[in-house]
Amino acid sequence: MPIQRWLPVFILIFSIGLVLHSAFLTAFAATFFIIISLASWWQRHSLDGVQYIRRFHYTRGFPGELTSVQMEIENNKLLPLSWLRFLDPWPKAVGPGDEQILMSSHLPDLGVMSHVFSLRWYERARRTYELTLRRRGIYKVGQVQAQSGDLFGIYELSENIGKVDPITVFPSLIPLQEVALPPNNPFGDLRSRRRLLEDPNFPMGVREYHPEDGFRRVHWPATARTGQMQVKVYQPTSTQVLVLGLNVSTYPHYWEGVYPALFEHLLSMAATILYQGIDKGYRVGLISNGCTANSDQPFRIPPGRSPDQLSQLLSALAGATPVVVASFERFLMREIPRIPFGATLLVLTAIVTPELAETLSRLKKHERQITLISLAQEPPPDIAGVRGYHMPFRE
Amino acid sequence: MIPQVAQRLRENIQKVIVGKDEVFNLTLAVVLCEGHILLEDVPGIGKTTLARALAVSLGCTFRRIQFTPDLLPSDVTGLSWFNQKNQEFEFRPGPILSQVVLADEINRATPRTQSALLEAMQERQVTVDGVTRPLPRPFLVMATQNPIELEGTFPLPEAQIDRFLMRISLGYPDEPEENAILERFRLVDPMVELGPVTTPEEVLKLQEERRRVRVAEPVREYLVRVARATRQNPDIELGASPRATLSLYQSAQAWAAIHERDYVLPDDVKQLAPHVLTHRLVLSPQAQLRGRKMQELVADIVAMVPVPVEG
Repeated sequence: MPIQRWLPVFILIFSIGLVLHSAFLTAFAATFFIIISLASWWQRHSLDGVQYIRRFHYTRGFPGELTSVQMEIENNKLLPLSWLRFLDPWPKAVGPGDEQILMSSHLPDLGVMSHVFSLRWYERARRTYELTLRRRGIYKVGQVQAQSGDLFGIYELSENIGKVDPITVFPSLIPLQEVALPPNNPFGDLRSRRRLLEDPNFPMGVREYHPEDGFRRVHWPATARTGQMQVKVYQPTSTQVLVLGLNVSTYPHYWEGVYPALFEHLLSMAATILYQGIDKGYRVGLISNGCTANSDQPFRIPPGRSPDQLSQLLSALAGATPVVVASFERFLMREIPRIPFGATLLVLTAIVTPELAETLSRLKKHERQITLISLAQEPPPDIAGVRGYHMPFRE
Repeated sequence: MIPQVAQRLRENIQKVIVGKDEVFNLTLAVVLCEGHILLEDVPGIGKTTLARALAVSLGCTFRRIQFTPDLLPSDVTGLSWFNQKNQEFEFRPGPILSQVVLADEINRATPRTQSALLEAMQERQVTVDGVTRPLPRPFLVMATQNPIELEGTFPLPEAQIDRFLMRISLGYPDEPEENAILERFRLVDPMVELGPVTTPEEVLKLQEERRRVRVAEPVREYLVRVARATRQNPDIELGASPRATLSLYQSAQAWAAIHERDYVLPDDVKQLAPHVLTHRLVLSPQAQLRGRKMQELVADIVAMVPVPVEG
């Protein structure tokens, strides 16, 4: 009850005490008023300067891996806290190894991690938990609900503090021996590593002039400075580029629903191929007719050579949902102009329809190397110019 | 003398750079250690302005080199050319023969040109046509690179990165600072009115004074333990080199001197470790994939190594 509501009661008891000349009643009212005032003030300031920080060892990983989190709680003020409780919403899929640590919540997949502390002024407490990454997905931990109150236990204050921390669980990788791709040429025909073409937008140095060099390549300032003919050297465009086209449909028609085990296998297969592609030195990209959670757009990650490329690709797969936002055939036709010239397009699908076969043969006209990996039960049809692999899914 | 000069420099530079006290102190620490700075941040943050303001305030000569893929080593070091009037070769010095050199977008140049900086940065001399020429002192290279763009760039090799004493990020200004920037640059560019507040000779004396800052044995051992811990961490593929340990030692001396102390505290080491170590360390690919950040890793290492206590 707020202090304002107590006020008439104090005044009444105090007045009765004065009228009756009762020292006990007067003292009781005054003492009670002081206690209630102090408690009210304490409650208002109890959560000032309280910090709750989660420090994860890793924020991303594969299913089955362990990571740890350290909670750091700090009371940055002179006021001590006799009790301080934190209720931290925590997805069970990335919860502590000991599942009993999480209290149940109103949602089946969400638990609550509860901590209770008693902190003095400027005191800090730490707790460490071992977490198990159980299931693919992008999970949000937090915000934490902090609760505290006064020394006498009269008032309580509750606030949401801290930030939301994401934890990403990538799709699991499939052992290479289970992926029946030829180890020497897993993604079909490769483009030559020789520097056949150069990109005039990216000069990468200068060298001495050779008779076969055109005059347009001459670097005149460098020639003037060195006293010898110098020509520009451009970056080659022959970097091997691999774009994975992922069809997330598990049935020919969307109204037939989703086959969850096949969908997860598709994602694991895609993750394995992307991992291998990066490992073999490709610039790897990903396009898919599926979408990530909280989005209604198909996702696409252009090929890149950033050190974070693999984590971006795997994170996209971690957040993938089975919601199909476009027919795969039309999606491929729309995306093909964006795929770099000469890139290898690797199509990964669980269903090969006649329309898809026709689309792939039409795509050959766009001068891309195309490889098809089918997880369907029946082998894919022979498509001219398209290398096909058949790896039927078994549950 | 260092705190007084530091205060004069701070007041002068803050006519141009709003806020950024810590960045200024770190930059001054690098000057006192005769080191070099790698400024890594997005464009438009004030990296070039800071370099120019520092050079003017120190009374040093300043040159800027815009690194491009077709830049030649001789564009950096200078070259000998034949003077037909005298019938002799004459040396035309390159921009590196200045006291403060801003190497803008250093990772856009080819490794060959980048390596032309190596000798200059470490040995403080350049060799052109077999003749070795000492660089003027004090000598400071402030290199900038944009952490966002990767296409068309040549990442600095570890050997070259190790030669930068610190990597500093300026960061965006907060709202009052950004308002102050607009107000300050409203009528006139304050850089035009900026003048020197010290001399190169005085800077050399300050560098000597920095060497006299005491580092107690327990603090020195703590510093070594921090550096060595980076070599034993499984998330780090390449740990700190002995040069990194030396850099941390010197930086801690400078930091103490700037803060009006003639002795180093473990807190100085803690404060400087992220700036001196993070750019020299290489994360393992597995740690990188799992979202580990180098700043957090160094912070964890610093937190784990026991601090020496009195008694």
